[in-house]
Amino acid sequence: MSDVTTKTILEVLGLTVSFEQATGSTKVVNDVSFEVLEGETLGIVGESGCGKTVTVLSILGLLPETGTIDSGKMIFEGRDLAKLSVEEIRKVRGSKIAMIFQDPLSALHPLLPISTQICEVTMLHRGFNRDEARLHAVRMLELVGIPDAEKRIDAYPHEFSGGMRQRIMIAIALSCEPTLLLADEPTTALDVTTQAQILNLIRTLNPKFKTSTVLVTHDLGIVAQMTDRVAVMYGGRILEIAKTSDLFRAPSNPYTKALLKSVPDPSVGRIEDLYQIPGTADFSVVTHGCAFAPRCNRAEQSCREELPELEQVSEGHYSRCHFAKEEYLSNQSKH
Amino acid sequence: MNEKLISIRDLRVAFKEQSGIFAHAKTTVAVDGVSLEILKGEILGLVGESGSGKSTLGKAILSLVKKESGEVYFKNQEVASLDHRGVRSLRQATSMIFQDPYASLNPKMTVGEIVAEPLSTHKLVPAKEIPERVRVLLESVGLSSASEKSFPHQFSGGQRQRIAIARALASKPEFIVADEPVSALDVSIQSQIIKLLDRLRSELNLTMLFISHDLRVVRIIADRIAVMYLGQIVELGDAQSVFENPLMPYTQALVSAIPSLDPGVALGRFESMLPDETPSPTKPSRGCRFSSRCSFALESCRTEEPKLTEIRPNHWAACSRISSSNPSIA
Repeated sequence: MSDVTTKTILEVLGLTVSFEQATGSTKVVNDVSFEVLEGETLGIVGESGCGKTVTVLSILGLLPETGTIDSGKMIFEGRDLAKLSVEEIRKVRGSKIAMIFQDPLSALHPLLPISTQICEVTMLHRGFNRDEARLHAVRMLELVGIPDAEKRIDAYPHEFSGGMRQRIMIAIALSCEPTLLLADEPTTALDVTTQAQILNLIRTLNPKFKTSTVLVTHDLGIVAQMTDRVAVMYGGRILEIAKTSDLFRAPSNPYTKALLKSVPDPSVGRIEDLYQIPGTADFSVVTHGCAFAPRCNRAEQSCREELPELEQVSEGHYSRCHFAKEEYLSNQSKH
Repeated sequence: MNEKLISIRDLRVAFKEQSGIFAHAKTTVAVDGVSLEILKGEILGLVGESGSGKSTLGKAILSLVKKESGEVYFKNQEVASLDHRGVRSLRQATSMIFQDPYASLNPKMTVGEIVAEPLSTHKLVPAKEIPERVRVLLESVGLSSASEKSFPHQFSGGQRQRIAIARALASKPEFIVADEPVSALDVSIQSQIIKLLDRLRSELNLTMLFISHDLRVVRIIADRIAVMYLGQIVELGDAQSVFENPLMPYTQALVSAIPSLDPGVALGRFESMLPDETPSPTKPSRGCRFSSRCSFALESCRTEEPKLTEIRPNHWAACSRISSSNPSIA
């Protein structure tokens, strides 16, 4: 951010998404703005229902039928993705912007061999003929660590393990050397040891393809290890956004602080030190104030009535809290 | 606290899987010769990757799946030899909490009925006193007594898990198998449930087998940790010892694969990754099960099966490359 030469790949401005429900329409993403810089990994972290997945689905125009983008812009290569026609967004999807989903088994077509599923992307977007596409697919599979790729390319998804399927998803996603990779909980369905392999793979491949990444996760450990910057979401809004190192060193929003203290710290290993955020995240209640106020330990009357703005606490570090500055400064007294 | 509540000897559980009409049934050995003791009042954490057999072991202890061989003793009584009445009292003295509170609660029963069912089944309290007991149970897990008239779908995941815990406690069990009880929950809710289970454990003097794939959670709640790999216990010891000084290369890999919360320190941590993935339990290798992925494996590891040995006081490992005189493998 301080680096003026860094190019902005994606700029999301005031994105607001609502879902039609039997009880009326609910705002799931509310005035969300962020940018993704060239080559960086931006993490979006939050609990279920906070709007993190809907945010990335909106970017690719993949919202379910009940969801609509009410307002906001998503500027990518000079165009607003929200305004593109179905045909136009299809050209972007899979070529310029690719996505990896949580569950590779349901993201891959069960009746088609892997070869077809990788080749179709490059044949469609890069104009490869069948032989070129197959050659390229084998190279991609080797790159993501599928052993014996030349033979395995004709196997079907069910013949691979969960970790291998996620590798195949990554191979498909990177086939067209996308500018932007959206990864929605890419390792949540995997074991820790496999997760480490996949995260490492994403981390080594992205610089190779100069791909920027938006990584959606609920795991703060993955955020710490994988991202350059991070946005913390709650109740459809960004409550804090900062460089990852700044966020962990000087969290400036009560929600971020509470979340960090809620993760069991193995080096302490004492249950008494584990923080518990009271209550549950009920996002169905419409509030004029801060969505976290009902569960926040320092909330005052003003928090329930008035929505705080995203306030800058230090360079590139913003917090949506009436006490953002105080929260930021309280970290320094600790050190 | 050193009194044994449960002891398991050489337990083996196998599943047969028919893949086609004419094909030979494949046998998957889910639990392969496990011997283990669970002490009264402790929380024993059981960790391992998916397919390691940890859930099956938990169910086999409660005789919810059929064992092939071996013995499970609950308070010095062999579970398989129990008669009908014995099984009933075992069911009363033990219970289970499942991972998914969306699937484990009957959607057509009210919360009150769900929690009351074990009470009436085991005739633990006179019918008249059941409503009062249900209220007490719900309050003990942090739910208002007003919730008894509601149905499970009206609650969030964390609240449902509280309902499941209230049901598990209804029969006043001495022993609970908690199978991934917080894995489906968000971080902030997860810490609520962990604290609840810990409080209930000390209030009710419960003994618990806490199954989880999340070492961070197990480290904080368990007194001892057992590590499972392809149906076998490969390491066992005090939680702190296992976590801070893991002996087995497999446990070391598991611990190092946890993404650290410190962005500064740990960028190199994934370097100590395991190659490949867990091999299929239908084709167990001879010798040490882990030898195919172990970077320290010798030829002998592939032929000789290591025994769980006490390497340090109260810290056991099944690895032929380490011994009490030489506890470090590298």
